[in-house]
Amino acid sequence: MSQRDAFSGHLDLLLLAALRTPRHGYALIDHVRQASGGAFDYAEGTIYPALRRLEGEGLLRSSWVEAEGRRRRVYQLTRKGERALEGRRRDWERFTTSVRAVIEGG
Amino acid sequence: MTPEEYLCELASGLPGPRSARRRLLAELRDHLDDLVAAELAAGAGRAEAGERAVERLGGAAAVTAAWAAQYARPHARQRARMLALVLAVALASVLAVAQHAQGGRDRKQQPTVCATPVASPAPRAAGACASPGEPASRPS
Repeated sequence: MSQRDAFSGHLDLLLLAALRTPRHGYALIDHVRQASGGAFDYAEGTIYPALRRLEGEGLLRSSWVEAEGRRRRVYQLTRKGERALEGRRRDWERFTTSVRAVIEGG
Repeated sequence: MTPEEYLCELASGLPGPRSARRRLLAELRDHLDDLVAAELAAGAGRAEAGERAVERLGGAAAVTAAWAAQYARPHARQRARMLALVLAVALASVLAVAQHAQGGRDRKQQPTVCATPVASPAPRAAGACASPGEPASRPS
């Protein structure tokens, strides 16, 4: 499995986690890349359909914001998004704990 | 491929409402501008910066597919809801007919209460629908 495939399965969790701080798309990708130590490798254009979907599910909200002479679409978590993030984070931790237990068990 | 060519290719194949498509293209344009600026700052020439920016966004086909998927889902849900509604109405009709038939059998010996009012307006309704199309029935 390529790094890109590995990330795509967890894209929603990464996007929700990164949007605890309001960000526009480019800043969001930049943050995830830096926070992942450069491991995040994703077709950057495809995050926008994902953001739109999460917004449609009520997990995000977005608005155009004027900054440094440019208009940007800025996304942030809704209350529902915060709860979803918490749930998905717990699922992720349970999953990694289980996998680690198996691969380290010998 | 230049950022402009990339956006044109994308614009021609995107499904969904116009306002949503325009918003996606505006966001991708912003993203491309940022990527180009970063490449230029890193020392790339303008043409090279544009090409690298497009590469980073991923193929237009990949973005279109991701975009189309989110529009396919609500439609699938809508179809499922419509099917459920049709099935519910069909089931309710079958139950109503069955109940009516059962009631008819139970009241076999008595004249049915609803038979007269239901039966009598029918010829009138048929006549009313037919008359506008029949010039002969007009008063002379």
